[in-house]
Amino acid sequence: MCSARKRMKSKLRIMHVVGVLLAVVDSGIGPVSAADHVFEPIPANRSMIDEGATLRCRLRSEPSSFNPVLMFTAIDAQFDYLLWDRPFVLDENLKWSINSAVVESFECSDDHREATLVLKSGLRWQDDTPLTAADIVFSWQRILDDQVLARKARHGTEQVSKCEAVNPQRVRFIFKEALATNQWSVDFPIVPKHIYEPLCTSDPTMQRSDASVRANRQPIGSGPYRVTEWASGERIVLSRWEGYSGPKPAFAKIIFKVIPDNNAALLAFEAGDIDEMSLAPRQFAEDTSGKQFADRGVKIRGKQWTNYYIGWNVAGSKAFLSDTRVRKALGLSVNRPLIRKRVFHGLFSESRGIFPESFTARDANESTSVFDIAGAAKLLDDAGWKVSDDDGWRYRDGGKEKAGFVLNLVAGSQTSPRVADILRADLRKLGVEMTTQTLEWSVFNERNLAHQFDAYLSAWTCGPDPDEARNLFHSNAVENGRNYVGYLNPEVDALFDRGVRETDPAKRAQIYHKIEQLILTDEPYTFLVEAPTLWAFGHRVRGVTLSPRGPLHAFPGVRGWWTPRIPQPIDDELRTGLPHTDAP
Amino acid sequence: MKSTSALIDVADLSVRYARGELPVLRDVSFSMDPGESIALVGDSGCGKSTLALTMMRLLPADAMVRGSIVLGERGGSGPIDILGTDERTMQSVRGKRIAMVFQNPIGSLDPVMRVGDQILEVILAGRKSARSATRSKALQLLERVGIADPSRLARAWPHELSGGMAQRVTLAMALAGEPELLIADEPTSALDGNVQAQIVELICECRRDSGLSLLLITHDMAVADALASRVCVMNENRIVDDLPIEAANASNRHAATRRLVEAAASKRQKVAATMDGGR
Amino acid sequence: MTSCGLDCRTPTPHDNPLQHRQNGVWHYLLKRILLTIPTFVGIVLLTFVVIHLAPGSPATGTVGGFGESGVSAANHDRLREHFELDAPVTKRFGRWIMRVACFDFGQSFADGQPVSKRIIERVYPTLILTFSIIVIALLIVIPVAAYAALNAGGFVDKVILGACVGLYAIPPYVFGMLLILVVGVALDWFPFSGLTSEDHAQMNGWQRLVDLINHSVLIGACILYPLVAYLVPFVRATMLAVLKEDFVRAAFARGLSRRRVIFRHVLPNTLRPLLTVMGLIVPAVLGGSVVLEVMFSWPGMGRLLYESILQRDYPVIMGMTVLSAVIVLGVTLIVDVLYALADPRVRYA
Repeated sequence: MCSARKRMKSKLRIMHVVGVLLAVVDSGIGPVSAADHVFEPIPANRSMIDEGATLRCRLRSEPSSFNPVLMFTAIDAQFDYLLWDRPFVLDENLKWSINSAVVESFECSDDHREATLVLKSGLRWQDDTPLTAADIVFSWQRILDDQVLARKARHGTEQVSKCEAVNPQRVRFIFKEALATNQWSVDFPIVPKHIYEPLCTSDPTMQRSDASVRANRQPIGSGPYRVTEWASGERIVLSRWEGYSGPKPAFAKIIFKVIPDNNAALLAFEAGDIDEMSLAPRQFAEDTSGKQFADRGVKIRGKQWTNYYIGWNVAGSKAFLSDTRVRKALGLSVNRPLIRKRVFHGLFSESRGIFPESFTARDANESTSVFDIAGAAKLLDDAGWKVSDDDGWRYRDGGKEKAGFVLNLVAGSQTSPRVADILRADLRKLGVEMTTQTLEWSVFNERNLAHQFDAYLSAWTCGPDPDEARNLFHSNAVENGRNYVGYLNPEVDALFDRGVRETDPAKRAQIYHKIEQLILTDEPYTFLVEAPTLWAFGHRVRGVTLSPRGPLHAFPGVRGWWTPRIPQPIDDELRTGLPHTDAP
Repeated sequence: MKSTSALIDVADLSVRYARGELPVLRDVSFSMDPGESIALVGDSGCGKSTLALTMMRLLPADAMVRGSIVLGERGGSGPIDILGTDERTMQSVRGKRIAMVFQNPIGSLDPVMRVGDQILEVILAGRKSARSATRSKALQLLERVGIADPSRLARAWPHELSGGMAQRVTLAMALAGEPELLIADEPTSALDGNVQAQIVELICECRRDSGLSLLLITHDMAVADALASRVCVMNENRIVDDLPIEAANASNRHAATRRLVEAAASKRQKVAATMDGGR
Repeated sequence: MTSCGLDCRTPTPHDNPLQHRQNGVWHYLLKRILLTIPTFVGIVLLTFVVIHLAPGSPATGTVGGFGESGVSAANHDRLREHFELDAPVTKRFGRWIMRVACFDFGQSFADGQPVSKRIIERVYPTLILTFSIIVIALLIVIPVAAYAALNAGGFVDKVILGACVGLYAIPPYVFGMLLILVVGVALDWFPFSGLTSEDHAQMNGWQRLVDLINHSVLIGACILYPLVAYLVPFVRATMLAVLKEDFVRAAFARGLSRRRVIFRHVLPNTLRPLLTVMGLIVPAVLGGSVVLEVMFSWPGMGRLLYESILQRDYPVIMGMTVLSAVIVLGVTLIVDVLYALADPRVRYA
C-alpha cells in the first residue's frame, strides 16, 4: 500500500513535470499578493455575493459525530461552527471572543470566581424551538456526566463547578478556582435539551441507542447550516438554514466530498470538483506549479502553531537518554536547515520554541536551533560516552553499553522517514547509532502511553492558551496526560500552576517564557521545525481567514467565505425577460 | 483423378508434420473394394492411426499431406478427392460415408452430455427429420448394438458406462449415418478379454447385416484374423505387406509380419493356458 | 449381449437414474454446507482472536484533534471502559457471539452507527460492481479466448496473448492514474471521484442508473482489465487442451459441423475449469480493491475495512469478517454446486 502510493505519486510527479514544461508561466511559490482576492472580506453590499452558490470542500475522512459534546477529531471540528452556535468562539487569531450573534452580555466577576451570560432574545434551534439558558445548563450537565464520552468538550468544563439558569436568558457560572483559563471553561458546546433529554432517560451515554445515533447524525443545530444529506463514504451536504437569526452566510450549500487520498484530491481540485484542500508540502512545492493548477486556483501558505519534535524517554530504562547532556548533544546534531530544505521543500520555518511569540515575552532574535556536531561530540565526551577505536561507535566509559536509541515513527507519514534519514546520517558521524521503527498509529500511541519507547517523532499543535502545554510538560501528565517522555521538573510544575492562576497577561507571559527556557534547557523534547498551513483555494473563493489552526477551524471560518455574483449576460436577460434571481 | 470402381483408393500417401523431422507416413498405397474388410496391422507408432485420420481428413492443421485418397462414387455423386475437396463435402463424408470408432470408447464421448443426446446429435447432423422419429431411430440403433434397455441408457452419462457399453454406443453412433466404410481404430484394445470378444462379434454382425466395409486398425493379429479377409502390414511408416489373411502365416513374409503373427500365436497360447489354469 | 444392462454402473440397477441424480445433488449440497460451517466458525474465531490480541486498540486508534495528536492517559482509560475492552478476550468473544446470534453486530466504535447499517451502505456498491465486472469479463473473455484458441499460433492469437501479458504487467494503480489523468481530467469523459453525483438524490430511476454506471466506469475498468488479461490465456489454454481431447476428434469424425462441435462440446467442457477459477477470483476481486477505492474515492467495502482496521473498530471488522466469510463461502458453495451440475462425474465423488 505504502510503496504503491509512492509509485503512484512518482507517476503523478512525472505528469506534473510535463505540465510544468508546457506551462508558459511557472508561478512557483507565488507572492501572497497574487492571491489577495482570497482574503477579501465579505462585502456589506449583499448584491455582490452569489447567495445561491454551492461550496465544495474536501473531507479527508468522515466525521465521528455531529453532536458537539461528542466531537473530538479535527474532521468533526470542521462541522462544529457550521452546525452549531456558541456564546464564545475562537477568532482567526485563536483569541477567545464573544459571539455577538448569541450573546447580549457577558460579565466576569473581579475575583474570577463567577460569570454571568445573557443570551440574545429570539434565539432558536433549527426546529424553531427557542434556545434558552436551560439548554446551556443541560449541556453542561451532559458534558460532566461520567457516562458521556465527552473527550474534547470535557476539557476545561470541569472547572465550572456550577452552571445555573437564572432566567431563560441568563446563565450564571461558578468556577472552582480563580483561574486565568476560566474564560475557556465557559466555552463549551450547547446541544438542544428538548431533543436529547428524552433520549437520555433510556440512553445516558448520548450515543448508544439508535435514536441517539440518529439525533447525532441528523442534528437539530443552532448554526446557519443543517445536514441535508450524508452519503456514506462519499459526501456530506449542508444546506443553509434560512431561519438563522445571526449573519447570513454566503453559500446556500456546502458539499463536503470524502476524498481520502491527497493526490486524488489534487486531481479533483484541478478538475474543479472541489474548491479547497490542504496541500502536502511536496504538493505545494512541486505538483501545483503548473498551468493546470494556476487555471483553477491559488495556493496559500500561512503560519500555524504546529511543531515537529522528537520526544526522548527521559525516565526510561536507557541511561543514555536520561542524561541531559546527551539529549542536548542529540539536539545539536539535528541539521534543521537541511531538513527544512530537503524534506519540507523550504516551506517550513525554524522552530523557535514551544509557544507562539504572543504567549511569551520571548525576544524575537532568540534562536533555539543550532547545528553543531563538534559541540555535540564534546557534550557526549563529557557525559562519558567515548568513541571506541574498534568500531567507531560510542560506548559509556569504555564499557559495553553502546550509545544509541530507537526512534519510533508513525506509519504512513511521507516526511518522517526522511527526517530520520538525515538525523541518522549525522548521528552516525557522531558515533551514535539510531535505528527507526515504523509503527501503525494505534500501536505508536499504545507504546507511548505505556512509556515503552526510546524516542518518537511527532507533531504538537499549541492550543489557544499556553496552559494547555501542561499536558506535555507537567509531571501530572505522566500518568494522566501526554507526558509520555516522563519529564519531571518541579520548577516547571510550579510555574504552570502559577501561570494558570495569574490573570495579568504581562506577568503570565513572563511565566511561560521561563517555562519555555527551562524546558529548552532540559531538552526532554527536541523541536525540529514549525509547520505552516498549506492550502489551495479555487479562484472563486473569497473571504478566507487563516488562523494558526488553518482556514477551517476558527470563527467565522467557512461561514465568512463567499463568491462574487457572476453578472448575467445581457442577451440572456433579454431572452428570458427576467432579471437574474438567486436560487432559493 | 482416376476413375475407379474401388470403394476407396489411397495412392502414394505421405504425411509429415511441420514441426517434425521424419515423415509419419511414407508412400502408402492401397485400395479397398466395396464390402471388403482389411486389417491394417503394425506396431504402435508405425502410422496406422495417422493413416485412418488422414482418410477422415482429421489431421492437425500443421500436417503436410502428399498423395491422393479417392472415395468411390455412390448414388448420383461422383468420386470424391478426400484431400482436395471442401470442408462441407467432408462433413457429408464423415459419419455418412466413412465412420470411425476409436480406441478409447469412454474418452470419445463428451463427458458432460447425456449418451442419448449425443446419439441424437449424430443422427440429426446434416439432416432434417422429426424429433420423435429420430428418437425412435436412436433407440433402434442402441438395440441393434445389443443394449437391452436403450431408453434408460440414453439418459445415462458417459462416465456411468463401462468400456464395453461405451464402445457399443460409439458403434451405434458410427452406424447412425449408414456408412459404407467403418474405420475401427483399435476398437478392442482398451477392453477386457471377454468384452473384446463381444465387440468383435458385434462388428461381425453389423457387417453381415449391412454389407459394411471395414478398415480395422490393430496390432493384434488375432483380432485381424477374426474380422478381416485381407491384411496390410505396416512397419516404419510404410506398408510392407498386403496379402490375404491366410497367407500371413507363410514363412516368406516380411520380418514385421512374422513378428506380429508370432506375437498373436504366443498370446493365444497364454490366454488358453490361463483359462485352463482358471478352470 | 444380454448382459449390457448390468454393464451400466448405476449403483442400484432398478432406480431411475434421473431420480438418483437429483438425490445426488441434494446430498452433495448438504454435505458441502455442513463442511462450510466449521470453516466459517474457524475464520470468525481466528479473526476475533487476532484483532483483539494484536497491538493497538480502539482507544489508541482514533485520530486526535488539535493539540491531541496522541491520546491522553486519562481519556485512554475512559475509552477502554466505554469500548468494554477491560474484559478478557474469551469473555468478549462470548458476549459478541451472543449478540451476533440475535443478528446484532453492535455499534461501530468510529461513529456509533449500527454495524449492519454501516456495512450495508458500503457493501452494495462493491458487490454490484464486482459481480457486474465479472459478468462483463466473462462476456469478453470467452469469445476472445475461444477465437485465440481456435486460431492458435496465428497472428491474432499472438497479438491477443501479447496484449494480455502486457496488460497484466501493469499495476492497477498505474493504470488507474493514467485513466484518471487521460479519461477523467484531460478528456473529461467520466467522473473519477465517488459513486454518485451531487444531484443524485434529485434524479429519476433511469438517470440514477446512468449516474452510477458513469461513476463506475473508470474504477470498473481498473478491476476489469487484469481479470481479462488473466482469464483469456487461461481459458485459451483450457480450450486448447479440450480441443485435443478424443471426444472432440470423435465428434468431428461423426460428421458434426465445426460450429456444433465448438458450441456444444468444446465450450461446455472449457467452462468447467473456468467455474473453479471464478470461485477463487470472486474473493480476490472483492478484497483487493482498497487501493482503487481510495484512488477513486469510491465508497466501497475495501476502504471501510481498511479504515476500520486502522481505527481498531472491532465491531465493524468482525461484521465485515462475518460478511466476507459468508460471501466467499457462499460463492465457493455456489461454484461447487454449479460444478456438480455441470459435471455429472463430480456428484458421486
